Amino acid sequence: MATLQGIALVLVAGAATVVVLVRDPKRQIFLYMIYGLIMTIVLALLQAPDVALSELAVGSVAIPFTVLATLVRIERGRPR
Amino acid sequence: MTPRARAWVAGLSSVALLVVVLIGLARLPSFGVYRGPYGTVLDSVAPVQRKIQNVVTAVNFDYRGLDTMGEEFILFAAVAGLALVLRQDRRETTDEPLPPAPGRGEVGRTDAVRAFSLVGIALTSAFGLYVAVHPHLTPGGGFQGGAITAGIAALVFLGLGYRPFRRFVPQERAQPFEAAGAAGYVVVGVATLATSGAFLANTLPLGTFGAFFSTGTIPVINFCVAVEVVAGFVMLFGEFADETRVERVSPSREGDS
Amino acid sequence: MSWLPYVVPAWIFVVGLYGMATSRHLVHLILCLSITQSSTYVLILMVGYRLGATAPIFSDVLPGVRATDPVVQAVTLTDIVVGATVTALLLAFALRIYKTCGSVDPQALRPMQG
Repeated sequence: MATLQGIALVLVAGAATVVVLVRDPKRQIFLYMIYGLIMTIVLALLQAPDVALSELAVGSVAIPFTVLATLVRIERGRPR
Repeated sequence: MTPRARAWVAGLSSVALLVVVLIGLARLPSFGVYRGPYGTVLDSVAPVQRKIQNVVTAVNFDYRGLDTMGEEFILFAAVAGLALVLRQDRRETTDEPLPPAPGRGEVGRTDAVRAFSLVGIALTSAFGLYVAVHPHLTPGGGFQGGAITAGIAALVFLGLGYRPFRRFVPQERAQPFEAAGAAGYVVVGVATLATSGAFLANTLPLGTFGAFFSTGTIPVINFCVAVEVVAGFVMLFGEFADETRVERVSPSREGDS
Repeated sequence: MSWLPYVVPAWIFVVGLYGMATSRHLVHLILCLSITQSSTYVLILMVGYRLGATAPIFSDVLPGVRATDPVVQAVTLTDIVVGATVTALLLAFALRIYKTCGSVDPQALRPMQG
Protein backbone atom coordinates (compact mmCIF):
# COMPACT_ATOMS: atom_id res chain seq x y z
CA MET A 1 0.00 0.00 0.00
CA ALA A 2 2.79 2.40 0.84
CA THR A 3 4.55 1.85 -2.48
CA LEU A 4 1.25 2.29 -4.33
CA GLN A 5 0.65 5.56 -2.55
CA GLY A 6 4.20 6.68 -3.26
CA ILE A 7 3.92 5.89 -6.97
CA ALA A 8 0.54 7.62 -7.25
CA LEU A 9 1.82 10.72 -5.46
CA VAL A 10 4.84 10.99 -7.72
CA LEU A 11 2.59 10.57 -10.77
CA VAL A 12 0.22 13.29 -9.63
CA ALA A 13 3.10 15.70 -9.07
CA GLY A 14 4.40 14.96 -12.57
CA ALA A 15 0.94 15.35 -14.10
CA ALA A 16 0.50 18.74 -12.42
CA THR A 17 3.85 19.91 -13.79
CA VAL A 18 2.91 18.81 -17.31
CA VAL A 19 -0.50 20.51 -17.13
CA VAL A 20 1.14 23.79 -16.17
CA LEU A 21 3.93 23.60 -18.74
CA VAL A 22 1.61 23.01 -21.72
CA ARG A 23 0.54 26.48 -22.75
CA ASP A 24 -2.18 25.80 -25.32
CA PRO A 25 -5.57 25.42 -23.58
CA LYS A 26 -6.88 23.10 -26.30
CA ARG A 27 -4.20 20.58 -25.40
CA GLN A 28 -4.13 21.39 -21.74
CA ILE A 29 -7.71 20.33 -21.14
CA PHE A 30 -7.02 16.69 -22.03
CA LEU A 31 -3.99 16.66 -19.75
CA TYR A 32 -6.21 18.12 -17.04
CA MET A 33 -8.61 15.21 -17.43
CA ILE A 34 -5.72 12.77 -17.00
CA TYR A 35 -4.59 14.74 -13.96
CA GLY A 36 -8.11 14.43 -12.56
CA LEU A 37 -8.03 10.68 -13.06
CA ILE A 38 -4.67 10.31 -11.29
CA MET A 39 -5.93 12.58 -8.51
CA THR A 40 -8.97 10.32 -8.12
CA ILE A 41 -6.67 7.33 -7.67
CA VAL A 42 -4.58 9.20 -5.09
CA LEU A 43 -7.70 10.16 -3.15
CA ALA A 44 -8.97 6.59 -3.23
CA LEU A 45 -5.60 5.30 -2.00
CA LEU A 46 -5.79 7.76 0.91
CA GLN A 47 -8.99 5.94 1.97
CA ALA A 48 -11.41 8.72 0.97
CA PRO A 49 -14.03 7.24 -1.40
CA ASP A 50 -16.48 10.14 -1.16
CA VAL A 51 -13.82 12.62 -2.15
CA ALA A 52 -12.68 10.40 -5.02
CA LEU A 53 -16.25 10.28 -6.38
CA SER A 54 -16.49 14.07 -6.30
CA GLU A 55 -13.16 14.54 -8.04
CA LEU A 56 -14.09 11.99 -10.72
CA ALA A 57 -17.37 13.72 -11.54
CA VAL A 58 -15.88 17.18 -11.52
CA GLY A 59 -12.60 16.51 -13.29
CA SER A 60 -14.08 14.39 -16.07
CA VAL A 61 -17.33 16.14 -16.89
CA ALA A 62 -17.95 19.54 -15.33
CA ILE A 63 -14.67 21.37 -15.83
CA PRO A 64 -13.73 20.01 -19.29
CA PHE A 65 -17.19 20.76 -20.66
CA THR A 66 -17.18 24.37 -19.52
CA VAL A 67 -13.60 24.93 -20.66
CA LEU A 68 -14.35 23.46 -24.09
CA ALA A 69 -17.47 25.61 -24.49
CA THR A 70 -15.44 28.69 -23.55
CA LEU A 71 -12.72 27.78 -26.03
CA VAL A 72 -15.32 27.25 -28.78
CA ARG A 73 -16.65 30.74 -28.20
CA ILE A 74 -13.18 32.28 -28.08
CA GLU A 75 -11.81 30.49 -31.12
CA ARG A 76 -14.84 30.57 -33.36
CA GLY A 77 -16.08 33.98 -32.41
CA ARG A 78 -12.98 35.78 -33.48
CA PRO A 79 -13.89 38.63 -35.82
CA ARG A 80 -12.53 38.00 -39.26
CA MET B 1 8.15 43.53 -17.67
CA THR B 2 9.12 41.26 -20.51
CA PRO B 3 7.90 37.67 -20.44
CA ARG B 4 11.44 36.36 -19.84
CA ALA B 5 11.97 38.65 -16.86
CA ARG B 6 8.57 37.71 -15.52
CA ALA B 7 9.39 34.00 -15.86
CA TRP B 8 12.68 34.45 -13.98
CA VAL B 9 11.07 36.43 -11.15
CA ALA B 10 8.22 33.95 -10.89
CA GLY B 11 10.61 31.00 -10.92
CA LEU B 12 12.91 32.34 -8.21
CA SER B 13 10.07 33.38 -5.95
CA SER B 14 8.38 30.00 -6.49
CA VAL B 15 11.52 28.22 -5.32
CA ALA B 16 11.70 30.45 -2.25
CA LEU B 17 8.03 29.81 -1.51
CA LEU B 18 8.55 26.07 -1.89
CA VAL B 19 11.39 26.15 0.66
CA VAL B 20 9.30 28.12 3.15
CA VAL B 21 6.28 25.81 2.73
CA LEU B 22 8.45 22.70 3.17
CA ILE B 23 10.00 24.09 6.34
CA GLY B 24 6.49 24.62 7.65
CA LEU B 25 5.25 21.19 6.60
CA ALA B 26 8.24 19.43 8.17
CA ARG B 27 6.87 20.30 11.60
CA LEU B 28 3.70 18.30 11.04
CA PRO B 29 3.35 14.85 12.60
CA SER B 30 4.71 12.06 10.41
CA PHE B 31 2.58 10.88 7.52
CA GLY B 32 0.20 8.28 8.91
CA VAL B 33 0.37 9.36 12.56
CA TYR B 34 -2.99 10.89 13.35
CA ARG B 35 -3.12 12.66 16.69
CA GLY B 36 -6.24 14.78 16.55
CA PRO B 37 -9.10 13.76 18.85
CA TYR B 38 -12.04 14.66 16.63
CA GLY B 39 -11.64 11.92 14.07
CA THR B 40 -11.27 9.17 16.66
CA VAL B 41 -14.20 10.47 18.69
CA LEU B 42 -16.47 10.80 15.67
CA ASP B 43 -15.62 7.37 14.29
CA SER B 44 -16.64 5.73 17.54
CA VAL B 45 -19.58 7.95 18.42
CA ALA B 46 -21.41 8.57 15.14
CA PRO B 47 -22.57 5.01 14.37
CA VAL B 48 -24.00 4.74 17.86
CA GLN B 49 -25.44 8.20 18.23
CA ARG B 50 -26.97 8.64 14.78
CA LYS B 51 -27.16 4.99 13.66
CA ILE B 52 -25.39 5.93 10.44
CA GLN B 53 -22.88 3.89 8.46
CA ASN B 54 -21.21 6.70 6.54
CA VAL B 55 -19.61 8.95 9.12
CA VAL B 56 -18.57 11.50 6.48
CA THR B 57 -22.24 12.11 5.64
CA ALA B 58 -23.04 12.50 9.33
CA VAL B 59 -20.35 15.14 9.61
CA ASN B 60 -21.58 16.92 6.49
CA PHE B 61 -25.28 17.04 7.25
CA ASP B 62 -25.59 16.66 10.98
CA TYR B 63 -22.57 17.60 13.05
CA ARG B 64 -21.43 20.36 10.67
CA GLY B 65 -24.70 21.00 8.86
CA LEU B 66 -24.33 24.76 9.00
CA ASP B 67 -21.06 24.64 7.03
CA THR B 68 -22.70 22.56 4.31
CA MET B 69 -25.49 25.10 4.08
CA GLY B 70 -22.88 27.78 3.49
CA GLU B 71 -21.18 25.71 0.78
CA GLU B 72 -24.52 25.09 -0.90
CA PHE B 73 -25.14 28.81 -1.02
CA ILE B 74 -21.71 29.40 -2.52
CA LEU B 75 -22.77 27.08 -5.33
CA PHE B 76 -26.07 28.90 -5.69
CA ALA B 77 -24.40 32.30 -5.82
CA ALA B 78 -21.76 31.12 -8.31
CA VAL B 79 -24.42 29.80 -10.71
CA ALA B 80 -26.45 32.99 -10.34
CA GLY B 81 -23.40 35.17 -10.95
CA LEU B 82 -22.40 33.09 -13.95
CA ALA B 83 -25.86 33.43 -15.50
CA LEU B 84 -25.80 37.17 -14.87
CA VAL B 85 -22.37 37.71 -16.43
CA LEU B 86 -23.02 35.56 -19.47
CA ARG B 87 -26.45 36.86 -20.24
CA GLN B 88 -25.54 40.49 -19.94
CA ASP B 89 -23.95 41.01 -23.32
CA ARG B 90 -25.35 38.12 -25.24
CA ARG B 91 -28.31 38.76 -27.45
CA GLU B 92 -30.96 36.16 -28.05
CA THR B 93 -29.36 33.10 -29.60
CA THR B 94 -30.45 30.88 -32.43
CA ASP B 95 -30.01 27.15 -32.75
CA GLU B 96 -27.15 27.39 -35.21
CA PRO B 97 -23.64 26.61 -34.06
CA LEU B 98 -20.92 29.15 -34.57
CA PRO B 99 -19.11 28.81 -37.91
CA PRO B 100 -15.87 26.85 -37.65
CA ALA B 101 -12.53 28.56 -37.63
CA PRO B 102 -11.01 29.18 -41.07
CA GLY B 103 -9.15 26.18 -42.38
CA ARG B 104 -11.13 23.61 -40.38
CA GLY B 105 -14.14 21.76 -41.70
CA GLU B 106 -17.34 21.05 -39.90
CA VAL B 107 -17.28 17.70 -38.07
CA GLY B 108 -20.58 15.86 -38.05
CA ARG B 109 -21.92 13.60 -35.37
CA THR B 110 -21.67 9.93 -36.26
CA ASP B 111 -23.98 7.15 -35.19
CA ALA B 112 -21.36 5.65 -32.90
CA VAL B 113 -21.21 8.86 -30.89
CA ARG B 114 -24.98 8.90 -30.55
CA ALA B 115 -25.14 5.25 -29.50
CA PHE B 116 -22.38 5.57 -26.93
CA SER B 117 -23.88 8.72 -25.50
CA LEU B 118 -27.26 7.03 -25.07
CA VAL B 119 -25.64 4.13 -23.25
CA GLY B 120 -23.65 6.62 -21.22
CA ILE B 121 -26.79 8.55 -20.28
CA ALA B 122 -28.48 5.39 -19.03
CA LEU B 123 -25.50 4.31 -16.95
CA THR B 124 -24.81 7.78 -15.61
CA SER B 125 -28.37 8.42 -14.52
CA ALA B 126 -28.63 5.05 -12.77
CA PHE B 127 -25.29 5.35 -11.01
CA GLY B 128 -25.68 9.03 -10.22
CA LEU B 129 -29.10 8.65 -8.66
CA TYR B 130 -27.89 5.63 -6.70
CA VAL B 131 -24.94 7.56 -5.30
CA ALA B 132 -27.08 10.60 -4.52
CA VAL B 133 -29.86 8.82 -2.67
CA HIS B 134 -27.84 6.51 -0.38
CA PRO B 135 -25.54 8.79 1.57
CA HIS B 136 -26.05 7.12 4.92
CA LEU B 137 -25.32 3.59 3.74
CA THR B 138 -22.57 3.81 1.11
CA PRO B 139 -20.06 6.42 0.00
CA GLY B 140 -22.22 9.04 -1.60
CA GLY B 141 -24.25 12.10 -1.00
CA GLY B 142 -25.95 15.04 -2.61
CA PHE B 143 -22.77 16.74 -3.82
CA GLN B 144 -21.07 13.86 -5.55
CA GLY B 145 -24.28 12.21 -6.75
CA GLY B 146 -25.53 15.52 -8.08
CA ALA B 147 -22.30 16.17 -9.93
CA ILE B 148 -22.39 12.67 -11.47
CA THR B 149 -26.06 12.96 -12.47
CA ALA B 150 -25.49 16.37 -14.02
CA GLY B 151 -23.14 14.65 -16.45
CA ILE B 152 -26.30 13.62 -18.29
CA ALA B 153 -26.71 17.20 -19.50
CA ALA B 154 -23.18 17.24 -20.88
CA LEU B 155 -23.69 13.87 -22.56
CA VAL B 156 -26.94 14.99 -24.18
CA PHE B 157 -25.35 18.14 -25.54
CA LEU B 158 -22.18 16.49 -26.82
CA GLY B 159 -23.65 13.24 -28.08
CA LEU B 160 -27.09 14.19 -29.34
CA GLY B 161 -26.94 17.87 -30.18
CA TYR B 162 -28.20 21.25 -29.15
CA ARG B 163 -31.89 20.80 -29.97
CA PRO B 164 -32.29 17.59 -27.91
CA PHE B 165 -30.41 19.39 -25.14
CA ARG B 166 -32.95 22.23 -25.19
CA ARG B 167 -35.81 19.79 -25.24
CA PHE B 168 -34.76 17.36 -22.53
CA VAL B 169 -32.75 19.46 -20.08
CA PRO B 170 -34.03 23.02 -20.46
CA GLN B 171 -32.44 25.43 -18.09
CA GLU B 172 -35.60 27.45 -17.55
CA ARG B 173 -37.24 24.44 -15.96
CA ALA B 174 -34.17 23.80 -13.79
CA GLN B 175 -34.26 27.23 -12.15
CA PRO B 176 -37.20 26.60 -9.77
CA PHE B 177 -35.69 23.26 -8.76
CA GLU B 178 -32.42 24.89 -7.84
CA ALA B 179 -34.20 27.48 -5.74
CA ALA B 180 -36.35 24.80 -4.15
CA GLY B 181 -33.29 22.77 -3.22
CA ALA B 182 -31.53 25.69 -1.64
CA ALA B 183 -34.66 26.78 0.20
CA GLY B 184 -35.48 23.25 1.34
CA TYR B 185 -32.32 23.10 3.40
CA VAL B 186 -33.24 26.28 5.23
CA VAL B 187 -36.86 25.12 5.65
CA VAL B 188 -35.70 21.90 7.33
CA GLY B 189 -33.43 23.89 9.60
CA VAL B 190 -36.15 26.32 10.56
CA ALA B 191 -38.62 23.47 11.14
CA THR B 192 -36.20 21.77 13.53
CA LEU B 193 -35.57 25.13 15.16
CA ALA B 194 -39.31 25.52 15.72
CA THR B 195 -39.81 22.03 17.09
CA SER B 196 -36.73 21.50 19.22
CA GLY B 197 -35.01 24.84 19.66
CA ALA B 198 -31.82 24.14 17.69
CA PHE B 199 -31.22 24.91 14.01
CA LEU B 200 -30.68 21.72 11.98
CA ALA B 201 -31.03 19.41 14.97
CA ASN B 202 -31.70 15.80 14.07
CA THR B 203 -35.25 15.40 15.33
CA LEU B 204 -36.82 12.80 13.04
CA PRO B 205 -36.84 9.16 14.26
CA LEU B 206 -33.46 7.50 13.81
CA GLY B 207 -34.63 4.04 12.77
CA THR B 208 -32.40 0.97 12.71
CA PHE B 209 -28.77 0.78 11.68
CA GLY B 210 -28.47 -0.02 7.98
CA ALA B 211 -32.07 0.55 6.94
CA PHE B 212 -32.95 2.95 4.15
CA PHE B 213 -35.34 5.10 6.18
CA SER B 214 -33.03 5.88 9.05
CA THR B 215 -30.81 8.55 10.57
CA GLY B 216 -33.45 11.23 10.90
CA THR B 217 -33.18 14.43 8.90
CA ILE B 218 -29.99 13.44 7.06
CA PRO B 219 -31.65 11.88 3.97
CA VAL B 220 -34.09 14.80 3.76
CA ILE B 221 -31.35 17.43 3.75
CA ASN B 222 -29.29 15.30 1.38
CA PHE B 223 -32.17 15.14 -1.09
CA CYS B 224 -32.48 18.92 -1.08
CA VAL B 225 -28.76 19.28 -1.71
CA ALA B 226 -28.85 16.70 -4.54
CA VAL B 227 -31.73 18.52 -6.27
CA GLU B 228 -29.93 21.83 -5.97
CA VAL B 229 -26.59 20.53 -7.27
CA VAL B 230 -28.17 18.80 -10.29
CA ALA B 231 -30.29 21.83 -11.19
CA GLY B 232 -27.33 24.17 -10.67
CA PHE B 233 -25.09 22.16 -12.97
CA VAL B 234 -27.84 21.89 -15.62
CA MET B 235 -28.16 25.68 -15.58
CA LEU B 236 -24.38 26.01 -15.78
CA PHE B 237 -24.11 23.69 -18.79
CA GLY B 238 -27.08 25.42 -20.43
CA GLU B 239 -25.47 28.83 -20.16
CA PHE B 240 -22.20 27.62 -21.63
CA ALA B 241 -24.01 25.71 -24.37
CA ASP B 242 -25.81 28.91 -25.34
CA GLU B 243 -22.44 30.56 -25.71
CA THR B 244 -21.59 28.27 -28.62
CA ARG B 245 -24.57 29.42 -30.69
CA VAL B 246 -24.86 32.21 -33.21
CA GLU B 247 -26.53 35.32 -31.88
CA ARG B 248 -29.69 36.53 -33.51
CA VAL B 249 -29.03 39.78 -35.35
CA SER B 250 -32.24 41.79 -35.53
CA PRO B 251 -32.33 45.26 -37.06
CA SER B 252 -34.37 46.77 -34.26
CA ARG B 253 -31.50 46.40 -31.76
CA GLU B 254 -28.83 48.19 -33.72
CA GLY B 255 -28.98 51.10 -31.32
CA ASP B 256 -27.65 49.06 -28.40
CA SER B 257 -23.99 49.21 -27.45
CA MET C 1 12.25 11.81 6.29
CA SER C 2 8.69 11.27 7.36
CA TRP C 3 7.74 14.60 5.82
CA LEU C 4 8.68 13.34 2.35
CA PRO C 5 5.06 12.63 1.30
CA TYR C 6 4.23 16.25 2.08
CA VAL C 7 6.56 17.44 -0.70
CA VAL C 8 3.93 16.50 -3.29
CA PRO C 9 1.15 18.94 -2.28
CA ALA C 10 3.73 21.67 -1.72
CA TRP C 11 5.17 21.06 -5.20
CA ILE C 12 1.75 21.07 -6.87
CA PHE C 13 0.84 24.31 -5.08
CA VAL C 14 4.01 26.11 -6.14
CA VAL C 15 3.87 24.78 -9.72
CA GLY C 16 0.29 26.03 -10.03
CA LEU C 17 1.30 29.47 -8.77
CA TYR C 18 4.19 29.63 -11.23
CA GLY C 19 1.83 28.73 -14.05
CA MET C 20 -0.59 31.47 -13.01
CA ALA C 21 2.16 34.10 -12.84
CA THR C 22 3.62 33.34 -16.26
CA SER C 23 0.41 32.55 -18.12
CA ARG C 24 -0.36 33.97 -21.58
CA HIS C 25 -3.95 32.74 -21.88
CA LEU C 26 -6.75 33.31 -19.41
CA VAL C 27 -8.11 29.76 -19.72
CA HIS C 28 -4.62 28.37 -19.01
CA LEU C 29 -4.52 30.61 -15.93
CA ILE C 30 -7.86 29.34 -14.67
CA LEU C 31 -6.80 25.71 -15.07
CA CYS C 32 -3.59 26.41 -13.14
CA LEU C 33 -5.74 27.92 -10.38
CA SER C 34 -7.76 24.73 -10.30
CA ILE C 35 -4.55 22.72 -9.92
CA THR C 36 -3.43 24.92 -7.03
CA GLN C 37 -6.80 24.34 -5.35
CA SER C 38 -6.48 20.59 -5.73
CA SER C 39 -3.12 20.54 -3.96
CA THR C 40 -4.88 21.62 -0.78
CA TYR C 41 -7.23 18.65 -1.03
CA VAL C 42 -4.31 16.24 -1.10
CA LEU C 43 -2.58 18.01 1.81
CA ILE C 44 -5.59 18.00 4.08
CA LEU C 45 -6.37 14.37 3.35
CA MET C 46 -2.76 13.43 4.11
CA VAL C 47 -3.06 15.13 7.47
CA GLY C 48 -6.13 13.06 8.26
CA TYR C 49 -4.64 9.75 7.14
CA ARG C 50 -3.79 6.99 9.58
CA LEU C 51 -1.49 4.10 8.65
CA GLY C 52 -3.31 0.83 8.20
CA ALA C 53 -6.72 2.45 8.49
CA THR C 54 -9.73 2.08 6.25
CA ALA C 55 -12.35 4.54 5.05
CA PRO C 56 -14.75 5.86 7.75
CA ILE C 57 -17.70 3.95 6.28
CA PHE C 58 -18.94 1.06 8.37
CA SER C 59 -21.08 -0.84 5.88
CA ASP C 60 -18.98 -3.96 5.67
CA VAL C 61 -16.64 -3.48 8.62
CA LEU C 62 -17.82 -3.20 12.18
CA PRO C 63 -17.75 0.18 13.88
CA GLY C 64 -14.60 0.31 15.96
CA VAL C 65 -12.13 -0.62 13.21
CA ARG C 66 -9.34 1.93 12.70
CA ALA C 67 -10.62 4.54 10.27
CA THR C 68 -9.31 7.79 8.85
CA ASP C 69 -10.55 11.21 9.81
CA PRO C 70 -14.08 11.93 8.52
CA VAL C 71 -14.04 15.67 9.15
CA VAL C 72 -11.36 16.46 6.55
CA GLN C 73 -13.10 14.25 4.02
CA ALA C 74 -16.41 16.01 4.63
CA VAL C 75 -14.99 19.48 4.03
CA THR C 76 -12.99 18.34 1.00
CA LEU C 77 -15.82 16.73 -0.91
CA THR C 78 -18.07 19.76 -0.74
CA ASP C 79 -15.09 21.93 -1.59
CA ILE C 80 -14.38 20.06 -4.84
CA VAL C 81 -17.89 20.48 -6.22
CA VAL C 82 -18.18 24.11 -5.17
CA GLY C 83 -14.71 24.81 -6.57
CA ALA C 84 -15.83 23.50 -9.94
CA THR C 85 -18.74 25.94 -9.96
CA VAL C 86 -16.50 28.84 -9.03
CA THR C 87 -14.11 27.83 -11.84
CA ALA C 88 -17.06 28.01 -14.23
CA LEU C 89 -17.81 31.50 -12.90
CA LEU C 90 -14.21 32.51 -13.59
CA LEU C 91 -14.51 31.16 -17.12
CA ALA C 92 -17.61 33.33 -17.58
CA PHE C 93 -15.53 36.31 -16.52
CA ALA C 94 -12.83 35.31 -19.01
CA LEU C 95 -15.46 35.22 -21.77
CA ARG C 96 -16.68 38.64 -20.72
CA ILE C 97 -13.14 40.01 -20.87
CA TYR C 98 -12.71 38.53 -24.33
CA LYS C 99 -15.94 40.07 -25.58
CA THR C 100 -15.08 43.48 -24.16
CA CYS C 101 -11.34 43.75 -24.84
CA GLY C 102 -10.86 41.30 -27.70
CA SER C 103 -7.84 39.61 -26.11
CA VAL C 104 -7.35 36.72 -23.71
CA ASP C 105 -3.71 37.43 -22.88
CA PRO C 106 -3.47 38.53 -19.23
CA GLN C 107 -0.12 40.19 -19.91
CA ALA C 108 -1.60 42.31 -22.69
CA LEU C 109 -4.61 43.59 -20.76
CA ARG C 110 -4.21 47.03 -19.32
CA PRO C 111 -5.88 48.26 -16.12
CA MET C 112 -9.05 50.21 -16.65
CA GLN C 113 -8.55 53.87 -17.32
CA GLY C 114 -10.65 56.81 -16.29
